Amino acid sequence: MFKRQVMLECISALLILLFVYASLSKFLDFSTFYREMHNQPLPKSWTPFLVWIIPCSEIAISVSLIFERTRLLGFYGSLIVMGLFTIYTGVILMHFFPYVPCSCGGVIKRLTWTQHLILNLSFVALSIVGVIFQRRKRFTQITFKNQIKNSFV
Amino acid sequence: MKRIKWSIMSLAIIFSLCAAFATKPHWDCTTLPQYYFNGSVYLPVTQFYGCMQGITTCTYYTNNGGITYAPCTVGTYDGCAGCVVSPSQSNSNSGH
Repeated sequence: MFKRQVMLECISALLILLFVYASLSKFLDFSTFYREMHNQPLPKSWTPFLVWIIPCSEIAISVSLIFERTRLLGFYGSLIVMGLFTIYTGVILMHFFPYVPCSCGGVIKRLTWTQHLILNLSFVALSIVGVIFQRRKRFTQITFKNQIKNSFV
Repeated sequence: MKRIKWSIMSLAIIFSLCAAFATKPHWDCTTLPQYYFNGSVYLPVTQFYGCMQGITTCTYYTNNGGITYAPCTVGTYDGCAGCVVSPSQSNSNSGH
């Protein structure tokens, strides 16, 4: 139980590390991020929305991962966001789009698309483990509470 | 357990904040006008240029009025990144 709890904290910390770093580096170099987003093979009308939605959702996920009550939501959010990034990376690597843009985001921009895919897949796996552990923990807590309730009745 | 939790969390947050500030470009050459090299001369970039993945220099900048140019961004220059020519446009162009 204790081991699983420590693992949950470590997984949350790793995801927070990734999301806080990624969002902050986008905000700190916003003009470059905007240009790189505009460079992506997505509809150009999406750029003004995506440049705010992506880093803000990363911060929201990080905050929800800190607190016990919202952690499961945070793991689900992280799974969705990392899943979408992974699909996008996969699509880029399959040359689905007419050109391959540069990859963006702080030090992460130095990675190639294949390295990006591996990184994303690892974080998708971490999010899945987080969801499973957090759900199990919740289930155990509910069962324990019910047992206490029943023992008093 | 709470102590362990908050130690791990604060460590992660502090580390990510430090990393983001440490890797922030100190001086951004992209704030200056950008030029691309077309094989013989340096030309100003187009409004919606893009840098495709590559190891060569995508754009250059100058801070001495065009006497010398220094590399700025990495990649392969594309004058109109992701521009899609609509069928109506291409038809009207071919008509002339």
